[in-house]
Amino acid sequence: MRYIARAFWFLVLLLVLFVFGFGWRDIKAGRLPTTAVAKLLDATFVQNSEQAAQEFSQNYQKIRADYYKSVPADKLTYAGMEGLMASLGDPHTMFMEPQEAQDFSVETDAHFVGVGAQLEPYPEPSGGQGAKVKMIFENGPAEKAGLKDGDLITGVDGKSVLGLSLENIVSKIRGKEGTEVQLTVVRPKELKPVVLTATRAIVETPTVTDTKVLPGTDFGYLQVTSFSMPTAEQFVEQLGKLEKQHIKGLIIDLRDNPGGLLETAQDMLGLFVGNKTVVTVKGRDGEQETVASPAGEEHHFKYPVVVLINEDSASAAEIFSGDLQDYQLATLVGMHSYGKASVQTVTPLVGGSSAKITIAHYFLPSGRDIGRKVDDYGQFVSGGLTPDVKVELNQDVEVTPGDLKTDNQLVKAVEVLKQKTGS
Amino acid sequence: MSPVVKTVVSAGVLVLCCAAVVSGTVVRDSSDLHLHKLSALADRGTLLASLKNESPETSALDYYEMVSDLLKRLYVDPVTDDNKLTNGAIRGMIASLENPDCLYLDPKQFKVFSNEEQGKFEGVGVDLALLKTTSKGTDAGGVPTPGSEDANTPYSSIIPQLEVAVVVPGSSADKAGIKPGDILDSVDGHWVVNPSDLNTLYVLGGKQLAGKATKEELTRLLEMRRVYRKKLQTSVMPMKARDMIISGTSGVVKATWKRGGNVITTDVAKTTSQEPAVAQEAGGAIAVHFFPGAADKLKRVLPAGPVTIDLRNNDFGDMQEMRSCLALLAPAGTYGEIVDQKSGTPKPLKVTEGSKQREITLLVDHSTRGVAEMFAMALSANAGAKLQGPSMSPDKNVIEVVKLPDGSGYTLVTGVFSANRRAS
Repeated sequence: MRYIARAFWFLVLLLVLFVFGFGWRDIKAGRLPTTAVAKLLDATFVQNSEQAAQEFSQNYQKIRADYYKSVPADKLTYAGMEGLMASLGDPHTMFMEPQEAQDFSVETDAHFVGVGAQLEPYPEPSGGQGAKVKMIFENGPAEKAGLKDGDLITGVDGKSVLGLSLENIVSKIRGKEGTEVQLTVVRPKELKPVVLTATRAIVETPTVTDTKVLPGTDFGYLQVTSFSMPTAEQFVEQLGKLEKQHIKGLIIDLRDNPGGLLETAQDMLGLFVGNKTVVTVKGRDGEQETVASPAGEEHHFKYPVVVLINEDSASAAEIFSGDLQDYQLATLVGMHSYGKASVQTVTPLVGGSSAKITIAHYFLPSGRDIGRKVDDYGQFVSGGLTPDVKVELNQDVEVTPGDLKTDNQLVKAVEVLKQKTGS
Repeated sequence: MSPVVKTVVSAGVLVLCCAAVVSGTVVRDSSDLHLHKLSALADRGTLLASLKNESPETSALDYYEMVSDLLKRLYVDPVTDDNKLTNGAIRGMIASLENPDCLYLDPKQFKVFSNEEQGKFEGVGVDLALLKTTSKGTDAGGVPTPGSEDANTPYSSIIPQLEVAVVVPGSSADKAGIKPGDILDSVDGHWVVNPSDLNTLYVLGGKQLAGKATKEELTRLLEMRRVYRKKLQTSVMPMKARDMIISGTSGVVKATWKRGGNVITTDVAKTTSQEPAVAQEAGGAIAVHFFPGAADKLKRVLPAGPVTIDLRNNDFGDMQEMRSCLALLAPAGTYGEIVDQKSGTPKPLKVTEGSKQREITLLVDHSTRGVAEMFAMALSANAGAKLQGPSMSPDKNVIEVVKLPDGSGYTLVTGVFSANRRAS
């Protein structure tokens, strides 16, 4: 009898030790094992995943078999994966179909093979679309071929593209590096179309645009449209142009900048200050990692800097401006930023699609959490950076960003710089 | 016990204790990382490349396992609820059909829906149909009427309008004067996002882009943008607005409705209300809704001679019940067919044991929807019934309701009804 009691208590001891081992990672990370661990323990032993997979499969097949129209297999699969990833309730965790995945990587790499021109849809009277040149990239093949802003592209390689969608036209213009493409172009005041020949090459998308000294001031202005691979380099290049004109203040426009790469935020902060915390990243195990700016890359700004932000400034753009605010290196002007406080990783999947997944949360050097909170209706409640000088964009006029006549947030930024420089 | 045995036993106990801790950490690792699954995935990964033309079902399931494993391995918070992932996937697949009659309903919404199918309503006592402005209607003779002018703009196919399809007689909505055809404009101060306003903005914006807008149009555009920026700050998406109106049994909901060019404001109490399957009307007509038991009740009140049946204010209904009602009114025969766009072999709608031919008048209008509309078309095309009233709704879809294990579910359009006329 005594042996049975002993054996029982021994088994209980073993079980306790097992649970201790299971929760060890949490204890090591300095926190109590949470209920999530209990859930995980439960999920490990009570496998409902097999059943859930079967349920997905059955309903997938039912929709394909019984819906009154035929549904392409890949389209339905992708839609299912989109819904699956959306079910976590995190707007930044998402499935990307092959086309989206490709566009996304072009966007973050900011280089691709093409002629180096940004096009915008041009509505045709017939209801179709054409392509109008919005911007020519510096030193790109299109510039060398003589393409100009405002040109209308009506044909590619001798064939009319009128009525085609913009994506379709763009895919015809893109191609293999080193090959030639002929563009038929109609210009606003010329009657006859001209044919231009461009050689396709790897082009870098300019992410630092609209560089200028604001008229009537000594202040430089540049707009950063995203934080992609070449952004820091392009920023230094454009800044050089401004400094040749002896600017006394700088306005960095990060409004509508959706962010991009964390490394770019690191490099950008490195221009202002080296070896400083950019963000602290907290992963799923509670482990912390500090990301710092590179040392010895300082640009030594000899004038005050103002950063313009709004509700569509997010991610890397937010980190960079938040750092400048925390280290008191710049004044933020505009409206509160978006409030994205998480890091994602993109995993390529079979067939060209990919999965973007939130893997960690981050905190700014001051320790603030800028995570966006919304109410039941999806409306903003709190989060994001709070600007030092709050000013709402007046949209009762047609606003051109970077134009002192219509952009009242920019006007405010100039006022702030004037105060700081005493001019 | 000899000292040797004692030593061996205590050493064994110690080893077992250590083994328990270690196995705990190992199990944690594998459950965090899903190592066992990952190795299986790697095998399948190489397989997938060579099986590109295999049955698509294989690849959908593979995708499911690949993506859910990835989430469990990488996502910042532990992912433990596989059913949630599956329901999300089903919701996504249903949404991709972009059909207002194909809806994923969460457990609460599904319960409301199942009750409505039996004539039991909550909320203010209406049903709100999701109306896409591209859809075309049919008039009383079954002739298609053109869709609205918004047909070619992008928002029409994405965002539905919420139209009152049914008002339960005697309900608080009925007392407040809400009518079928009213369009929901706002709920409790939240503007309901609707496609027609967005479309106007889109068209004007496009003109501005092309440099073709007149000065008046530019002024209007700026003014509209100002108004809608304000509205968007308090907006609510249609499905959420729908829940606010049709579910709940207590409290008061303040809503505004668009009717013609006017806006009507109502404060309506939420409660339960019941729509009877069969009701005698003052004018002598019989109102029929195809809820369970409708055929039995209709049989009891059906006169011997000519009959007038009111099919207005009619949204939900059961296909089988409708067929039984058909058999009470008309002789045996084929009353149309259900067509899908895939197989090409229509399924006939047949009545095997019918009744004597009689003179039938059907009262219809825009609120005659779904099964009721099919009923009206079947009788008018094949049994000489007279349709009285304006054009009916554009809704002739045959809908299957699928219930999922957790209480949620979805509706799926499996065919479209067509009342083929018999050769005379």
